[in-house]
Amino acid sequence: MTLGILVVDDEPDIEDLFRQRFRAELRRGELVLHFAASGEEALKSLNTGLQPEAVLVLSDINMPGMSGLDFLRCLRAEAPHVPVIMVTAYGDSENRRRALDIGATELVTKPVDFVALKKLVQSVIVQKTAA
Amino acid sequence: MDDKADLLRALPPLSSYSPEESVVASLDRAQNYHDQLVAAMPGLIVHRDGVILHCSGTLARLLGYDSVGEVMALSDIMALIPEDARLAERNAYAHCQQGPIQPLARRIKRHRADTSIQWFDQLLEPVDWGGAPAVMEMLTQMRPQAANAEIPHQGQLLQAAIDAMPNGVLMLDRSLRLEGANSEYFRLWDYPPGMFPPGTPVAETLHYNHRRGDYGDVPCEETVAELCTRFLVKGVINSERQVPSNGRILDIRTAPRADGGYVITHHDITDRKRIEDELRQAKERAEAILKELRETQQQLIVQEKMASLGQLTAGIAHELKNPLNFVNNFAELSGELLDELLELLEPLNDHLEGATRTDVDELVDSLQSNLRKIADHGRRADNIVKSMLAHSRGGGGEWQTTDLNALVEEAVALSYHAVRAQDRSFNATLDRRFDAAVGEVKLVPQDISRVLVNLFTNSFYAVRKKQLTCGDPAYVPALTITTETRGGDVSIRIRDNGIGMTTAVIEKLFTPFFTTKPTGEGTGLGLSLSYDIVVHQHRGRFDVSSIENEHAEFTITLPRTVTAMSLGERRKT
Repeated sequence: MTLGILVVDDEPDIEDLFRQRFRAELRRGELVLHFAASGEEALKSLNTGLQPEAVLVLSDINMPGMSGLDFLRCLRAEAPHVPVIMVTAYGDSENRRRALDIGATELVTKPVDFVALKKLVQSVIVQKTAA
Repeated sequence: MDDKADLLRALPPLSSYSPEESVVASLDRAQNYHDQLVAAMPGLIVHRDGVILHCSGTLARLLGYDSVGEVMALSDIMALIPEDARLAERNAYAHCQQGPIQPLARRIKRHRADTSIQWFDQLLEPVDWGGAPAVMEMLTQMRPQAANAEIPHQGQLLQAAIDAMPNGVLMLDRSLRLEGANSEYFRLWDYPPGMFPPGTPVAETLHYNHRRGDYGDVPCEETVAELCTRFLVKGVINSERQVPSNGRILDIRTAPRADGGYVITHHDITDRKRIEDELRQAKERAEAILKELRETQQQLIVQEKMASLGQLTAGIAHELKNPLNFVNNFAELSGELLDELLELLEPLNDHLEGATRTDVDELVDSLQSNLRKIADHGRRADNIVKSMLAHSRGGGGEWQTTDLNALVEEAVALSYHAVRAQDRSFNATLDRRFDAAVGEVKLVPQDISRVLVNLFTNSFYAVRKKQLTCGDPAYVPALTITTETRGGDVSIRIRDNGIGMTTAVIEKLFTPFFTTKPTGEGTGLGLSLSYDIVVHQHRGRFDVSSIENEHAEFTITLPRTVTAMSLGERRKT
């Protein structure tokens, strides 16, 4: 089956980076990546329905407009079942605590360790398919 | 010098009388006077710790009060004593209660009921009053001197006039014999009245002063002769003299008279001196406080500068982190993609001719090496950014009660191993002067250890550099590490005999990114971060001194007790 992942980040180059990093999975058709440049855009596209449906959301915290944490709060209210992994440059304990309090599944710090991220994605997907 | 010799020659011959005998004679006269006073009916007042216990009717009348009850109603014996005489009287009372009975009279003044001043001759004796010791004070109105009684009316008028003066007045004839002195003079010098009648050589008063120890342990004749010459100086001279027996400071001025005699006035400047002293002390205190304030202000300015630089640094670090993330990721990805590309092209290799094949291989090698370089430098930049962020982010270290000497030892061992790992041939003398009294201090061991390792590494770098550049085979790199405890502070001092620093370098030492090391070797953040840890996080001090090519010394002073703070916490407020 093909799983959808939504990546929310204001950096446009994040798309190239993720597409190249996950190129093998994309080529094999295991994954489909959706991108949004802001929290607002991400909420809109989630509401209009993504194909395939996003089963995992990766979001930056520090973004112009709606911050990653605000976005997380909205998403928790609308779709409590979708796991969200926060990606941030601010990996201090306070940010981590806040993100987890609001309901993030995990918090990873930049620079992103893609080997670890892939494992994380894999484990979330395994949980998802098992459920 | 010649002037003085002339003056000494001009002195009247002092050998005409024996000083010892004449002082004894003076004391006899004073005793005589005392006996006369006792024989007369003196006014009597008894008091203890200032409280008046008894007053005779005679004294109440002499003081101008209508009844004894009015005197008894006074709150304190001091109410009877003019302000300028209070210190001397208090001393005299205390002396009377402790010591043996004062055999001689004192000339003193008292306030009358109408606040005018009345001169008295006084005798003090300790008594037992109602089972407890008290002071019995016998007062009688000043008696005319026997000798004074014989002088003509004009002279008596003059005596009355000078007695009324607020200053001590002493009149000497041309051969330095007393012609007259007023009561204030006797009081100021604490001379028993009746002691020095007219005709007494002034030298005798000086002998008496010497005998009671006013001048300390000095030869008698020389001192008296020297003091006598001062009376001979024409014109007004000023001198300040302390009277040890009553603590007074006198301003003494000599005015020569037309007939060759002298009028010497004594002005009591004890209070003025005291006020001057107090003012001077207050001024010194104020200046010391001002100096301290200026230093604190300077320190605050430096701290603020460091803090804002730290903030800026942290901001820059965050901004750099994202683009750097892309550089590193894309560099790594490009390497992977190139490998995949080569794999795909593998079957084509056989179709290439030799020369083209070599070219392709070379290009691929260059591309791979470039990508490695981008990754390497990206990592380097990433490390710089990480150190920069350490400025603003707490290292997560915890405040712990730590054995400071052990922490210092651990840091020096760590740094020494690190430098020896780079250069096996390197050796340095380590002189540890640890004070066991330093004991345990509350600090963030992780962060202080980082500061110490930083300082030791710098010191080893400095001595190693000196060894490599000075060319002196006798040079021995040496570090002295001292720990000390002082008051509520502990200090760690690290001194090396390396290349040292110029003043210009010291000034910029704590500025982020300032480094004297070659590009790529130092980030220039070590000391800046150390400063932040010591000054902002631990509320300590960071002192540096150095002489170029001689030594450098870093001193960290930490308070034993400090409210726990994490790095960067201060900035948020």
